[in-house]
Amino acid sequence: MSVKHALLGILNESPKHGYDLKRAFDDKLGDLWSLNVGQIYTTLERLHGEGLVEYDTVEQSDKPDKKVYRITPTGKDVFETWRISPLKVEPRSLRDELFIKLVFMGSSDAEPILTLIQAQYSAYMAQMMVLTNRKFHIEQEAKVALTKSTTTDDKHRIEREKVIKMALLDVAIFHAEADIRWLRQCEVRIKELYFKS
Amino acid sequence: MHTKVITLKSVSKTYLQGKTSIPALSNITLTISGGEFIAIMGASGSGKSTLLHVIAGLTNPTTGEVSLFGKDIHHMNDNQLTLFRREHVGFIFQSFNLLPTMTALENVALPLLIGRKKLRDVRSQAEAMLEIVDLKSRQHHRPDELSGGQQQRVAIARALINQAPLLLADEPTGNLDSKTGEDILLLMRELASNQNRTIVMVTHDPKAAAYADKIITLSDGQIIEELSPLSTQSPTLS
Repeated sequence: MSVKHALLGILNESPKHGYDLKRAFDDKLGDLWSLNVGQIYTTLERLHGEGLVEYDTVEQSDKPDKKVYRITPTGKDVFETWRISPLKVEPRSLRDELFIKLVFMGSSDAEPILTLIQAQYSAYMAQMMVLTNRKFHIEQEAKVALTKSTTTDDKHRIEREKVIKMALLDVAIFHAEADIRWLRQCEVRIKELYFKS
Repeated sequence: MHTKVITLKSVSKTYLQGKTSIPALSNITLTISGGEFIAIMGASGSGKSTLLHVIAGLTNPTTGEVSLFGKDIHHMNDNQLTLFRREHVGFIFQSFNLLPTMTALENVALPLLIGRKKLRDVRSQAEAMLEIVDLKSRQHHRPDELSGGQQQRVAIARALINQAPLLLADEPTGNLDSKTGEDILLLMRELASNQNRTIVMVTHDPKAAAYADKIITLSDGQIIEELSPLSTQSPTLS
């Protein structure tokens, strides 16, 4: 996953020190992607080594000095090129552990695998309910925020932030849906195999 | 909040086909409380539509008891049942079922007009319902001048105008594209969460069902699962 580009994108908006970067990251992507401070600092070091970011050291009286990072012109180029390039399409890796279980399905009894499929279906379905619930709350929060906002700029910002959050939840929901459809198809195939008279 | 809106006790329904009897529902026991949004899922032939029809009083169960708001609806006569439904139940269908020659406003007002009220007396009420579904500006348009999503919102406004506390929906997003369907489902969820309406929705679409508080899955006329996000652990996402 492209932590590198996400951090470049955030620094492209304004310079930030490590902790502020984490906050901005959580605000934009935290719904579905958790990142620890350690990952942020190692990525920043790498970006610095590649000449994509640089930093100013700011003295603090009561604490150690902090580094405020900003994007370099090369960093801007790298980010802009990345932002508009399509992703390479490769077959999804065979990550699905359930498929491996399916490979070792017994030859005489369909019940254990059908039970497993049903349990897995429930897990995806419950996940979809949680994600959908989150969508409902984002929608409600945006509605409240819109009634309180006074300027067109504010309204536009609220709508834009809502769209981004919704899109992120959409992709998680559509993936869960694909898994559910796959499970249903497996179920039908297995039933045909075992119960065909 | 916790009033029992729908109670089914050991409900079974059998259809006769020639001399063989085909079970559509077997031994369903179910309680649905005020303000709950319930989705009923299941493959075709699993009995989900029959269950909705039994709850609506459109089909009598072969055995068992069905009560809505504490009233045993299957021992009412046709007139009593019609009046009861008009006051308590709103319907939302897959195909919207709007009258093509009437405007959006007239369609919304229809349940009150059938109750022999005059349009001029109920106009402001119908406008208020269109406001809830965000369509007040389209009140003078006829169904064929509205998009699918707008037509379904008119149908929802019509289902709301009697202040019916129970809404029954049969594949309400079946004819809508994904984003329009989402708007309808967000609206339904809002009606349940913010207005304490009880909603029972039949759907085969997992994405639609996920808007509900609870998903009841039927297979061969039996409840095989009741699922709610609260009963399971929150998923962790990588």
